[in-house]
Amino acid sequence: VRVDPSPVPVPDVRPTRLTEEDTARLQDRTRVHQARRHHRRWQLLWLLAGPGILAMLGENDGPSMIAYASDGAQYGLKFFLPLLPLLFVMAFICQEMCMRVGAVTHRGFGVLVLQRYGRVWGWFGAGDLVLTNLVTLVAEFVSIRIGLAYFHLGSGVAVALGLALVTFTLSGGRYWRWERIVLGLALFNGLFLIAAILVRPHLGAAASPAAFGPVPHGSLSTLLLLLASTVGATVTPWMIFFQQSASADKGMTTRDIRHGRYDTALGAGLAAVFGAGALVAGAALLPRGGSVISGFAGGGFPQALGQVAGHAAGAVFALGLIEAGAVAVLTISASTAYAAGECAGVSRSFNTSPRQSIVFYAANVGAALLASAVIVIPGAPLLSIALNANVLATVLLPVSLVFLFMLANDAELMGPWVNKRPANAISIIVIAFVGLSGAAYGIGSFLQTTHLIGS
Amino acid sequence: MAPDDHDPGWPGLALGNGLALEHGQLVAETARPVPRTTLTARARTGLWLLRVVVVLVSLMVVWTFIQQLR
Repeated sequence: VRVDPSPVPVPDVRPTRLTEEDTARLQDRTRVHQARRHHRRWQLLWLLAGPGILAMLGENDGPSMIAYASDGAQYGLKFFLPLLPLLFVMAFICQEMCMRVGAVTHRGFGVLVLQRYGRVWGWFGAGDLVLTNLVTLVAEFVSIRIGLAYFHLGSGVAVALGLALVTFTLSGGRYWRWERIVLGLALFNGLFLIAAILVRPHLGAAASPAAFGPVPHGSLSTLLLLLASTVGATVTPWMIFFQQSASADKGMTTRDIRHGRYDTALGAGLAAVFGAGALVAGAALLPRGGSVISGFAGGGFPQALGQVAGHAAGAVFALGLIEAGAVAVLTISASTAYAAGECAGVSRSFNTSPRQSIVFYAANVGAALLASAVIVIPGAPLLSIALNANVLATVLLPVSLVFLFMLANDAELMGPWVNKRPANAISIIVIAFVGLSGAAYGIGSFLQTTHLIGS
Repeated sequence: MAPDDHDPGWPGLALGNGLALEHGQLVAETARPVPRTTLTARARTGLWLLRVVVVLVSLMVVWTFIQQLR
């Protein structure tokens, strides 16, 4: 006789009536309940996977892939290839906390900071998010434009494609539908791995001990920019807001934390492999010293890759940029919408209709619309925007990370799921590393620009 | 009540001997604010210090970005 593995006592308190959002979530949770009850492990993983993979692959976005490819083009595989897995371990540590806090409290990051620590900190956090999201969204449309430029399509198509995707995914009124569509798109992030294979890297040379130099040569400013943007390519404020809110919207509970960890780890693993693909593909341009990147505004990167490694490599890389930008437009717009709804104290769920959650849906479309308007400006410095979007995210990230750390350590809120001591020790190192990376670039480049120090 | 034939209007959420939706997940519950916590003076100072540093470095990044465009 099979018995439910972990029966939960029925609570005394009963609500008067379920809302439309409750009903939709109940349907999803019923399937999870049945899968758990009948010990269908793979089905359970399938049902509970989503927020972690989306956060990680969403962050393998246009600017991130540009940052990885730029690292490869300017410095080769040295330093950055071994660094990449470490950065995604760091991302896993941060995102696991988001998932756990969301599953325990059933609330998003923005609303928890606002209610637990006061309006000032809540609005500061929301301000950071809106700023970095808008800049990053511009960069996402830039990457779509760069990808499309390879196929001789202009910025109008990029805008139309991005906005059409946002509108289409929002049309279902269900979290599950939105999540599955975006997950399906996100798997095409693997195009960067195909691009890496197509450039035929010399893996023997790359794997030799001599290939892994400690710190690459080049100007300090450029190195710090690439380091800060690479750190910003793995963890950003929107990921924190997104994964916690999405975990709550999906209906995850404390019983799902183990699967939430699998989901986040799988996302981190896939993102690291695909990110390494972009790095290896970019390294094919190393013999040219990365000089081709200056032509980026006109779609120079895929074009240059096409010249060096063949048309197929260029085309796949261009398609990858379109996918990376499109998925990130969806996830970053969603994180903006969650934060807007949470700060305004109104309904914020994909399990509602636009009529019920007008702020949520308006913020979702509005953020994408605003960002898309910027890329049609002629002569915009596209590569600079793409790289600096990640740098700005890195600089602003420590505040969000500190609040996440405080929430995960809040025993009153988290109960037995509070952070353990080893997790705290690692989290402190991560926060310090992120803070120093951003500050080093910000202060260093400022001093150089003002000629207070040499390059 | 079987898991598949739930009634949206039914007030309880028990399915078999487990739950499909926890009480704390309901919209009516999540709409209730969590109690505010009191930060120690040291924590408040630390947070403000971090906030000021972050704003200053952000301004430096934006300024450098604008200068590099020229």
